[in-house]
Amino acid sequence: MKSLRTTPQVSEWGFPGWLMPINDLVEKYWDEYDLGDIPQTAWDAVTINGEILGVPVVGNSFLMIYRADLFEKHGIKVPETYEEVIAAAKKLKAGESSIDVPFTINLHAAWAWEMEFFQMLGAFDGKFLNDDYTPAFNGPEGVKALEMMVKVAKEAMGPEGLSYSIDDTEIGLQTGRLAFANTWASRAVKMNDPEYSDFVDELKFAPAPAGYPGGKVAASAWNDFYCIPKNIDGDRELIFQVMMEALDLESQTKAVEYGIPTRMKSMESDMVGAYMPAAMEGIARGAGAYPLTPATPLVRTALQEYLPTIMNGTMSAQEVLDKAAASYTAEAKANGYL
Amino acid sequence: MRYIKKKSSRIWIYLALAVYVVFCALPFYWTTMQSFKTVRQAFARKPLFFFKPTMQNYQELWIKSTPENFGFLGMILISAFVLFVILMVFAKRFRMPTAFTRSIGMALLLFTLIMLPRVVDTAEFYDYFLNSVIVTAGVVVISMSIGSVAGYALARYSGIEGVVIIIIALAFRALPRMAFALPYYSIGQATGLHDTYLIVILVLTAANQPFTIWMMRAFFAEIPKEIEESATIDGLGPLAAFVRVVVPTAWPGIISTGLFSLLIAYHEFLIVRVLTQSKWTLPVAIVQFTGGEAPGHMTLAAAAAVSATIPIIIIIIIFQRHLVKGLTGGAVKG
Amino acid sequence: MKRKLFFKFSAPSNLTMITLMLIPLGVAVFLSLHFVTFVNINTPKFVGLSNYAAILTDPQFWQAFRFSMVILIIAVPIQIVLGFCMALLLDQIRSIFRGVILALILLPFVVVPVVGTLMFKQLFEVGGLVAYWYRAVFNQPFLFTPTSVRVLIIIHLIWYVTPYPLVVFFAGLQGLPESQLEAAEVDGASRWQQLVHIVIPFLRPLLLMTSMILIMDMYRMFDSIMVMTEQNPMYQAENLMMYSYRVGMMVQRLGRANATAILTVLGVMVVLIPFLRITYKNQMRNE
Repeated sequence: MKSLRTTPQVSEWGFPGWLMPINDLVEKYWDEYDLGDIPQTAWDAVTINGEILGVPVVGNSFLMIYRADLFEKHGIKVPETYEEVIAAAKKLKAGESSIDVPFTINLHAAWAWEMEFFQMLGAFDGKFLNDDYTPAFNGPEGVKALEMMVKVAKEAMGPEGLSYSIDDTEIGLQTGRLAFANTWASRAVKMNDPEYSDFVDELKFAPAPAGYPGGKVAASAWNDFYCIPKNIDGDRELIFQVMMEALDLESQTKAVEYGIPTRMKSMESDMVGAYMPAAMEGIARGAGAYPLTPATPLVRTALQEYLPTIMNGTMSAQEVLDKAAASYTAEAKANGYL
Repeated sequence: MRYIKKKSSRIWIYLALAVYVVFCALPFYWTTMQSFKTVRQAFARKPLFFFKPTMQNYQELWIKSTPENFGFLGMILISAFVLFVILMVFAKRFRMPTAFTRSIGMALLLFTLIMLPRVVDTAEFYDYFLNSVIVTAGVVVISMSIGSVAGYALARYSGIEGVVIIIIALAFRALPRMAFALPYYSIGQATGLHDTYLIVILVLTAANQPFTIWMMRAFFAEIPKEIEESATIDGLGPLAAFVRVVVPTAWPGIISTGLFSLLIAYHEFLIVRVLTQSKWTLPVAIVQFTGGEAPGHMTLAAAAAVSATIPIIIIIIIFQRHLVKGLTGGAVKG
Repeated sequence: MKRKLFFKFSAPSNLTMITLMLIPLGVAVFLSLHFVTFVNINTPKFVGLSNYAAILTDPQFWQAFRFSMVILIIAVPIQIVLGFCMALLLDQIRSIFRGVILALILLPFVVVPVVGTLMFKQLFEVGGLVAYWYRAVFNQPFLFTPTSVRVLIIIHLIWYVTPYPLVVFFAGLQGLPESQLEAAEVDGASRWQQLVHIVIPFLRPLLLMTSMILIMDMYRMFDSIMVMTEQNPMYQAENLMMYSYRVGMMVQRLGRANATAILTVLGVMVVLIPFLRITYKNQMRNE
């Protein structure tokens, strides 16, 4: 009866009061299950007004995966900013005939646009909302971020790359259709697995690109949480214990294969993938987690509704963001957040 | 129209039909191929037509781990399934009404399906499949039992009220699903019925009724009145006469209508998506395989699509005649 | 049958149908006059007609309306004509192949719509067969753009729904008045003349009924477009049902979404009322 929720869903479900606070249980079992091994940031991402609403299970972030052989062949040094990414992609597009698409970020769906925008916004030091919940994403940082996304889409990805889903990106890298990409850390796991990948020794990992030299990288920090719905009939303590069993060091160590486990001790395992350092950079130097506010879901919806339309070329970045901001403001007012 | 004998003309006819059949069947062919490939093969730059098929996708879709303690319960389930097959195949040989034997058979099948996860560690997809079975069975049973009586009444009653009801039914049939899916979301939340089989079955039954009564009415109208008149003379009440005398003669029509009832329930996406969170049926589950954040590769989606289509193909093979009859017999697909 | 018995027999069905469909319509009207989200679902706030005003001034609504109409205007005639032609051809097949062909033709129509769309779409995606052919012929990748996605949706709807008119016309052809056709032939009428003067007039009621049903079904098409676009606004391929779903389930404006649903119901009435009148006349004639 436990249910798995991701970072942005904590706002969506937590603020209306659909999730059960478990502070007492966490406290009671803190030592027994060694919950101090889970970093405080992960707990913060599931705590609203002091109420802990779930247990962090597995984390995720973004990193860059690239074909080292192609980079070497064309004399490309691993890009650190998106300007360098675009330059590298142009070089590959012109000179490398074995690939279909030089580079991708995930822009195939509305929610993907909104996520990439959140990361890019962070890389340009912007944020979704001001403290009073008025929109901040349509400021100059937001415009820079969106313009950069469009530039990446047009110059580094091309129209074909625009339709690449997360799956397509993963398989594209493994089968040689794609030269490099900024994608989920969990997708890096099978890059060096000969059962899935044709380029086992060539696929290498680097931190996500930054917005400008020395700036934050375009990556975000994610967690999946075990949460208990508030309207549950069963014994909540028992459910909590079941959750804890699923979170023991052994299964967490195995989870290293599938992402970033939340128990730090599991990182000592030999199984830790080659991609882990790059992924940890994304968490440390990226945009962090989605802000925990009741208005966050409204921002996401408004952005999902408008961001992709910029590719149709009828509106400028500022106009698109202003439209999203207006739509957000209307909803936030109607909900009484403004 | 008259048969065309000219050889050259016939070649053109066959050719045109062949093109259209390929157009119809191509997506099925390709998805089936993809479902037997590894991810790498499925995304090969030059499409593979000949390859060593893998069952990996289907395995991942249906089974979490291979069964270890396939003990007592397993034997019961196997015998229940065997009994189901025997009952269905030899239904006519038993000294009981065929319908009765078949119902027992269906109950056994349902029992096997529900108990299966206790024996084999099935994956989530099996739960969705089971949800589909439960919802579909519920809708067909309720919808057909109330719908066929009403269809019969409509066929035999000549007053203006009958026509009015028929017209209302037609109007309801045309309503966009959205017009009642969203209100039912609110109703479900208010009554606590949200995310239950009950509300899905009820709403789908209601949505099914217009076309069920239209179709049943058309089928019953073809049955001569004399049949039940003679039964009434024999001293049967109207309901008994209907059940014992009319229904057996109307069986083909009931199968046709029931098939469409079944298809409508099995197909439904929107209502299930809006009204449930944990009781998703196959269509809702399959949509989640496409382009989400979770790693559900297209080969897995292909295997899911093929799995959901197999029951449909079985239906076409067994009931093709009834389907065609249902489509044309004054039938209106919901 | 006596009136009392009629009501007794039809009551369970009628009550289910009418209550379970009228109540939600009533609730929809009620909600459409209120401000409701998932959060205040139990305490809606009355806002009068402002939901309707907001929709009617929303350019996205009109875009959705336009695409709904485009689907109707392009898809329905093609479905009818293609279905009719294929039915005529199929009628010429008198061998065992008839059943086989019919079974294959029925497939797109009886498969789960969501699954059918998924299968259809896979052909065009990375690794898809048609995408590969497209690249081989035009030497450029098949791209999902607003235009191509809309065209794909319409082709898919033709693929999905044409079997229905096809089978109906095919069954209709089996009941052609043979004597008339023979007489026409004796008079030296060509095949084409027979088709225009005898076959089409004979099938006219069926043509009319199927067109009406197709119009209503195309108007409320949801599953296919949902799967094909994955709700990406870039493709600008949203129809009225998708619009209403998005406003309700994503933007969480249940009141406004219900208002959209009410407007779409009013829209379907335009087609429905003449259809109901024809049906009513037919029924009264039969009685």
